Amino acid sequence: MMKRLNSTLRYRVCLPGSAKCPAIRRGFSLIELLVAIIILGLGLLGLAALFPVVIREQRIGTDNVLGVTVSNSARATLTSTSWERGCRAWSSTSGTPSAWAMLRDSTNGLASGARASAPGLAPNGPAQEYELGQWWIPEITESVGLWPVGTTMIGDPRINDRKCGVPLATRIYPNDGEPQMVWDFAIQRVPDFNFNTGPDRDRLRAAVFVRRIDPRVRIGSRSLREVLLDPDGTLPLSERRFPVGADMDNLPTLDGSNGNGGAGYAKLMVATYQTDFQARSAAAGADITRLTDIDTEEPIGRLMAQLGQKFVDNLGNIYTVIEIETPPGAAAGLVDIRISPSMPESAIRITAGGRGLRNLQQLLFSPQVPAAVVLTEIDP
Amino acid sequence: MSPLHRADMTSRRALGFSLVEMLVAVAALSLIALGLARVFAATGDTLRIGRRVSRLNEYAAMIERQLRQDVQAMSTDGFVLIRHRLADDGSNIAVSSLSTQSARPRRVDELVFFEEGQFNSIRDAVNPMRQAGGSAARVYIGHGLRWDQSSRDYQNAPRVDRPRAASATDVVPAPAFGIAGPNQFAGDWILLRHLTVLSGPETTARKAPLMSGADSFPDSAIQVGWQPALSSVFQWEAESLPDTLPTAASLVRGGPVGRPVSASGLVDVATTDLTEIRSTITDARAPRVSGIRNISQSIDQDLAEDEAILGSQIPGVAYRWVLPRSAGRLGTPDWDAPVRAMQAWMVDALPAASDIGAASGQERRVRAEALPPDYLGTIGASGVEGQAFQETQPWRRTDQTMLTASNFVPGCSEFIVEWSFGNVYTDAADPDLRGQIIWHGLERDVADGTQVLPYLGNLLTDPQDRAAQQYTIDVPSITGAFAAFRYRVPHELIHYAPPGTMRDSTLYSCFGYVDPFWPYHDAGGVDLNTAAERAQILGQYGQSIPWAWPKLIRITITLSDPNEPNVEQTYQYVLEVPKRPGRIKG
Repeated sequence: MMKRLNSTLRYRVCLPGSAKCPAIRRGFSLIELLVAIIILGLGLLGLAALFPVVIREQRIGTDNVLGVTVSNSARATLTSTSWERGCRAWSSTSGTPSAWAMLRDSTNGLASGARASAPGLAPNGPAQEYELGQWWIPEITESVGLWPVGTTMIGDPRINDRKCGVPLATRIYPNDGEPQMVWDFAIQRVPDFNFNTGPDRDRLRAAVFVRRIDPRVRIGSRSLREVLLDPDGTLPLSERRFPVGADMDNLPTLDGSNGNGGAGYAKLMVATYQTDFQARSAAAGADITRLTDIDTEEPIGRLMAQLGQKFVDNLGNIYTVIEIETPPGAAAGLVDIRISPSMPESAIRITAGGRGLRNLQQLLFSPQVPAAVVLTEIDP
Repeated sequence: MSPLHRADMTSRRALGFSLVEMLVAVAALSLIALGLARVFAATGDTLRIGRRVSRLNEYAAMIERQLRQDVQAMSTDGFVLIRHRLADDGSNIAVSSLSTQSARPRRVDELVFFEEGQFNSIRDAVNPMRQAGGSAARVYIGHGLRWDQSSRDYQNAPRVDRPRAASATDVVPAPAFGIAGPNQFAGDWILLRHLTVLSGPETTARKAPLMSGADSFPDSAIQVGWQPALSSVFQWEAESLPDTLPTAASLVRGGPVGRPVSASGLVDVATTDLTEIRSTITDARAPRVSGIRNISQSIDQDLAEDEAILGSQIPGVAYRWVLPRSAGRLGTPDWDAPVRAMQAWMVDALPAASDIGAASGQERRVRAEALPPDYLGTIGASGVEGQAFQETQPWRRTDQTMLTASNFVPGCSEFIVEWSFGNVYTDAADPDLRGQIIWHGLERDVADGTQVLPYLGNLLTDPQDRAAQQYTIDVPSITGAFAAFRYRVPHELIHYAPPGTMRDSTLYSCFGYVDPFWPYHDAGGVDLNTAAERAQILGQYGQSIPWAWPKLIRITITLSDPNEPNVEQTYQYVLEVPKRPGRIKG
């Protein structure tokens, strides 16, 4: 082999311009050929790399179609089910208002002492804030107890009588067959500006987020449904998986776990205006097209700055992230996100009397980019 | 051989690769090719599956849009009827002949309700100046049956007046679901969305000719706008009314004159309206001819079972299952008791007599074909083989297209309709069920751990959960008259089952107009006592309350892929039923 190569090389050396050596055609060397193959291979690999993108886009397209179906069903389920009646039925203390009733029935007209002692009314802060139509995210049960694991809990978690749950089994689509999607919701009260006349019924509004079930849930010899719902109640919590997993920081793990061998549920999140993001108008009266100063080094910022991410503000508008930009001269990690549709400037304009019901306060979103988001009014 | 000499020799030929070089190159290339082939194959598979799924999803989204639109437009002036049915009484049915592992029991439910709006017949107008239309329609969603192509009837001209439910001699060459024939495999089933336009009763139908002498075919009970019409949405009436038929000369199709029936699949107009339908049902007594439906037998059975379940098993529940027509309790079963008669009429508004012969594999449905059997008429539909339809009989070709016009979902291998009053399970002893919605229908285990049961159907096995299962209506008190009470909707109001062996595989859920049980029960099953109190309640809340309607309907549809019949995909839609106006909140 070497000998042969040598002869070729030697021959090549003598060749150029030599009258002795007549012009000949010669083949490629092995090196050349290998280089060519490598280039070809790289090219083909590049081509192949295109396919995952296509598949991903296709999956997103499919999710979007299915997401509409699921969100429609979720809306019908939330709207037409007698949640409060069910809640009342399992309350052991007769006469105790259910969690739903407490959410719905404004107590703003009550004396402040009575309001402060009303449990379940404002789990996320002072009653006043809750009155401002802020989003309230239900708890998720993560341990086996009176409620099935994964139940979305409404009400004060300390008081069983004042809880009402929407079980995971109801929120997984489809009820029959291989689970594909899951929906979650948050609640806000829609104040009817009738504050001072004592308890009155406000409407409740739910924001429903539909998400694809984590693609990498390891199921072993069990079915996906078994791992997610544990119908026999035999799985230890360490082997249970949630349809949408997240770690301690609520960062998605995509495998239904908390990233640490246990189960963790990716709950809906709220970003607070002027804490987690800013919104400025370029000029008075001009629409707001960007949310700014989002810190992607923080989990909440990282989850906000995702293409296609959807936000629901406390005014009931839905926004989609269409672009993520790093503004020139910004501090490390800070990004702007462009939203569609744009936000009216009036949302951040503070009128006399301070921030009020018509102002932007919160953005509600899910850690995973949802397949669909809908709002619906409910009368539990 | 010296090197020089070799070089010399070489110089005379093109310098090629050595064998070893070639082998290395081929090996390297084939390795890459192998890897790439795998990548491409996997990608291709994924894409193919993805394409199929997205195609099915797209289709499912179209179905959903239509269903949502229909249910949203559901008229609260009509009734809702659901026939829950296991095809072929629950035998295993495969999706195709190639896929025996897909054999399982399959549901072929039926759903009937009414819509208001502007509707026109989808038949091609015989006379473009005459169009059959109306302001309401009966919507039927359920599977059709294809006729056996080897039968002579298949290619003969289809008749608008056949098959009649009342006639045992109108044998249909349509072997039922799962029976050897064109409907044996679920992948061939066609789900129909069949609209019947209600064009108003005969008396109000437009009879005036368009121009003098031009309209020699006036509207009648069986003809509207030069199209054949049902005289009623009820099978029995459509087959027996009008008493006197119009002459052949007044019908555009001529003779022989027969009364059109909807099971033919050719007719989509009925000369009736919602008021007439309502009065037929609310004034219901037995159908005029006894024996047309074997009601008495089923009622006997009903009573025995009801008493076994409800009377003796649950202490304190004295179940009165039909409202007595005279004062006092109903002693003996009365087969034309109001509620059963109402239900029997609602069942009669199915487009085809589904129950007749269903036990013996002869289930009847609306005729539906994947393709017009004889579009040109040359095979036999024109009456003469080889001869096309004549221009003077344009409706003959329309008849052919009507057989495919209502096809909604081809390849629909399962169709399940379930409903809910919006109640949730509350039993603390079973936390896995707690908070889940209670769905009703033919008994079925759902993968989410719940069990679909008839309304109050598990009283025998699980009396614990009665509180959650029952649907009660709160009736506020009136000071000095009567205390607040809860009226429990009895299950006899909702359910009705055909007699005999079909009981395990067939169930009706009926949602009519007024509740004939009101106000004789309360939630505990205790009678509302005195006649005086009853009179006060009736005085305050009226003689009747609306028949309890479902709040949610859940439709489960399974689609099979025509290209890969082994692949089935299931979709589920939860639909909100429009609320009926009423003074008492359910």
